[in-house]
Formats: sequence, structure tokens, C-alpha cells
Amino acid sequence: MSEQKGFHADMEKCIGCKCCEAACADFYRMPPEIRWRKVRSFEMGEFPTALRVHLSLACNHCEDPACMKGCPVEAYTKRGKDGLVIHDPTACIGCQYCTFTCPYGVPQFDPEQGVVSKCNGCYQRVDEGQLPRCVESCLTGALTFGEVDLHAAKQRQVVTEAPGFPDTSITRPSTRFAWPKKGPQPDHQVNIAPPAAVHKEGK
Amino acid sequence: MMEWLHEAQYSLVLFTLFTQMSVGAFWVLLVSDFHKRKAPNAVYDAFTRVGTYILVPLTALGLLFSTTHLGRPQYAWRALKHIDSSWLSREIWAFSLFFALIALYTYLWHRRVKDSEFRRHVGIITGLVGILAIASQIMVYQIPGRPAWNHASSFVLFGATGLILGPLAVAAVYSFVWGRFIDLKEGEPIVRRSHRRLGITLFAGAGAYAIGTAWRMSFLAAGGAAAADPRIAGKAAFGPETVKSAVAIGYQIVQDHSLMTNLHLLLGIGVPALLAVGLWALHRKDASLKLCNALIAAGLVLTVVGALAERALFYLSGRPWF
Repeated sequence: MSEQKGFHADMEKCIGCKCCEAACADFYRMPPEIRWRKVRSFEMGEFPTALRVHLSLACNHCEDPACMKGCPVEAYTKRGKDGLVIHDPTACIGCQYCTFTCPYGVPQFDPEQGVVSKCNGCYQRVDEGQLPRCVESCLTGALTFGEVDLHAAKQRQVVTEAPGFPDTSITRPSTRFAWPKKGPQPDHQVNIAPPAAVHKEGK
Repeated sequence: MMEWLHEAQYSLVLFTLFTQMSVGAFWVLLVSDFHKRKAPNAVYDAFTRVGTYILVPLTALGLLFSTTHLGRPQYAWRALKHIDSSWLSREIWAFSLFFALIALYTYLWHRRVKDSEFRRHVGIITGLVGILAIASQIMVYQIPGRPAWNHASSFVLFGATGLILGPLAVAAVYSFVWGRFIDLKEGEPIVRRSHRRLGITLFAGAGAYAIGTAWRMSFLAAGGAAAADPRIAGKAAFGPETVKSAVAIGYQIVQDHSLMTNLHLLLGIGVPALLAVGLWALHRKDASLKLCNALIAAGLVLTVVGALAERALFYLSGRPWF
């Protein structure tokens, strides 16, 4: 059994409060323009049963991380024991190539520091047996963290796809999702609000 | 404006253009070097020798612009560490080696070292390293993370840039040197011959550039058409469908920047093609070389503007898709 750890985001439970975003940003004292975790909001389904859905995403700690493969300075490592992908800012030269190679827009460049940064899965906390800060702060239990193979035993639904989530065959992300109970399900075509509207909302 | 320049990755635009121009220019000079192998000609050698003087500054400028892209340029040397798996690292290795070799090649010309065979051997190695450097530069953008870049047309576009800008830069230097450092009468036949060869090269380069552009545009347009399909319009994209939507975003960006698209088509492709035809027609009538030289200088400036527009569009079209 793989010991790859990852996040599980339940779109039924998430209310879009962004506590996870804020807790992460506060814990790591991030500048306002950097967010390791972001909550995206969109509408799916059809009137009158259309749903407002929120999706909390950070680094997917991929099985085959494109950020790590492309990095020219070996600033990325993937931990053997839990598969978390860690970025070392002291090694980073700020070439931003990882911001190109990651399909999920996870690494973010901080012009002030001159380096890229990204979610490291709170590996120091995880090593001490604690949960990542975002998971700990989640009010509704929508966000959980643990071994990917064990999600199925604990969660209502475990799927790899979410609306608009880039092709998982590229890097094999470890993040898993549960869709809203009453909304469209992954095996059906899903109506979604136009990207422009979602983009504005996301801002 | 600054935000737009950053989004268009202006430092990478200039890095790729200058280095591709340098590799193209080097190949022109290397071919010149080999051309006179059996019948040495002092005037011809003088042109080639002065031509090599642009190689180091061009490549140095390109490498300088590549470091302005970095958040911590003082640690740029670290980019050499991951050659085993990173194309970016390989690109930096290849261009660093190319830079060292062109410096050596230029030095050998400058000192008029008698062993011209040694110089030519250095030249062949340098030329091959230059091609490898451009190939690795293209591979840097063959990444599934940015589907709008991940297309083989980049090989044609990046190669054609070198094929057009390199010879144009060398021809501009020849024009400048002729009459100033090289006797007008002695140099005239060589300048005329070089213009005819420039015309052929420009025509081939403009053709390749046009093919590469059409190929890339059809690739982006296919993504745009797929995204606009009424069966999936307004539906959430999943799996491979998300890749199509990323390409569609790239297509939309190209459409939104119609001025730059036109600049690329008119100046980047149209001007070198017209210049090729113009040089052919002017030399058939033994027209004034000063006129030809002025056209080459103007052609170089306009083509560079067109190439800048093409490259900026390339970077803009690869906008993050999630």
C-alpha cells in the first residue's frame, strides 16, 4: 500500500468561508498576493437545481510532480515517507519555471523575496503528528488530510476529478474530491458558469 | 504597461530572440568560412572576421536578459545543477558552452591564427552546440502544464527566427563595414554575392516562419473550436477536455491581440519575404548598393519588431489555465 498523503476536499461540506485560506496565510505570514491555498467558487447544474459550489485547493503533492522535474536547481524534493512535495526557498533562484510546468498554478512567484513558494503540506506539523493548518482550521470538516488510499474508508465519496481541474494524467495529483450529494455527479456532463464569471468570483 | 511586459515575459522574449539571432548569424559566418576554404580571399576574410565581432555581444545580451527574468540572478549559476532531468538546466549549459565557443572562434579570427583548419573545427563544434542550444530552448516549452506552448510548431518558429534574423544581422554588419573598413571597389562583388544569398535565405526563412505560424494558429484554433462546440459549451471540462480549454484560452488571447498578430504577419514574415524579392530585383538591375544596404538595415529593424510581436504573443498565449 502506498503511503502517499494528500488532501480530500468535500464540495458538499465546503461553505466557502475561506478559513483554510486565511489560516494558511496567517500561519506562514504570507504577503497578501500569495495564497498557497485558494477557494474557488462556481455554479454547477441547471436551474432550478443549480448549486453554488466551493472547491478548496492547494498543492496536490502529485505522484509525478512536474514542478520537481523541471526545476533547474533541485529546489523541490518529494518525501519518500509520505510523498509530500517540498520546496526549498533557499535553493530557489526565482526562475519561475515551476509556475509554467505545474498545470494547477500551485507555485507562486513572490517578487519581494525573488523566489517561488508553495504549500508544503505543513510537513513539520505532520511530522509531529498534527494536521496541516488549513485542515485544522476547517469549520465544517470539508477539508481532510491523510493517506490517499485510506480516504475511501473514511469519506463518503473519493474521486480524482473536479470541474475544470486540469487533466490528472499529467502529474497524477494526490488530492481527492467528494461532489455535492444533490448536484450532478462525476459520471455526467455538468453545466457550469462561464469561466469569466467564475474568474471574477474567484478574485 | 510594466504588468503587461511581465505577462508577456519580455526578458524571455529578448533572451530567445537574441540567442536565436546569434546562432543564425554564426551559421552564416561558418558557411562563409568554409566557402572560401579552397580559394582564400583576403577581402572575403575581412568581411567574415568583422562579422564575427557581433556574435559575443549578441549572445551576451541574450544571456543578460535571461538573468533579468530571475528573482535572484546572483545565484543564476545554480541553474546548471539539474542537467539530468531539467531542460532549463540543459538550455543554460548549452548556451554557456556556445558563448565560450563563439568567444574562442571570434578570437581565432581576430588574431588571424594561421591554422584555419583548427578554427573551422572549432566552428563546426560551435555550430552544433548552437543547434543543440536552440533545441533545448524549444524543449523548455514542450510542457503539458502549458498546453498552448506544448506543440511541435515551436521547433519551426524558433528555428525560422534564427534563419531570418541571423543572416539579416550579418548582412547589416557587412553593409556597415563596406566602404568604412573595406575598400568600396574590392568589396562590392562580395557584398552583391552576399545579398543574393541573403535573399534566398530570407525567402526560405519567411516560408518556414509562415508555415510555423499557420501550424500554430491551426492548433490553437482547433482548441478554440472544440471549446465552442455547442455540445460542451457551458459544460465543465474534465480530464483531457481541460487541455482543449487551455488551448482555447491561448487562441482567445491571440485573437484579443490582433495588432500584434498583424505586426508578426506583416513585419515578421512579410518584410523578409519582400526584402528577398526586392534584393533579387535590385541586383538584377545592378542597382545602387547603398540603396540595398539601406533596405537591409530597415528590413532588420522591422523584422525584429515583427519577431518581438510573435514571441510576446507566444508567451501571452500560454497563460495559466487553472
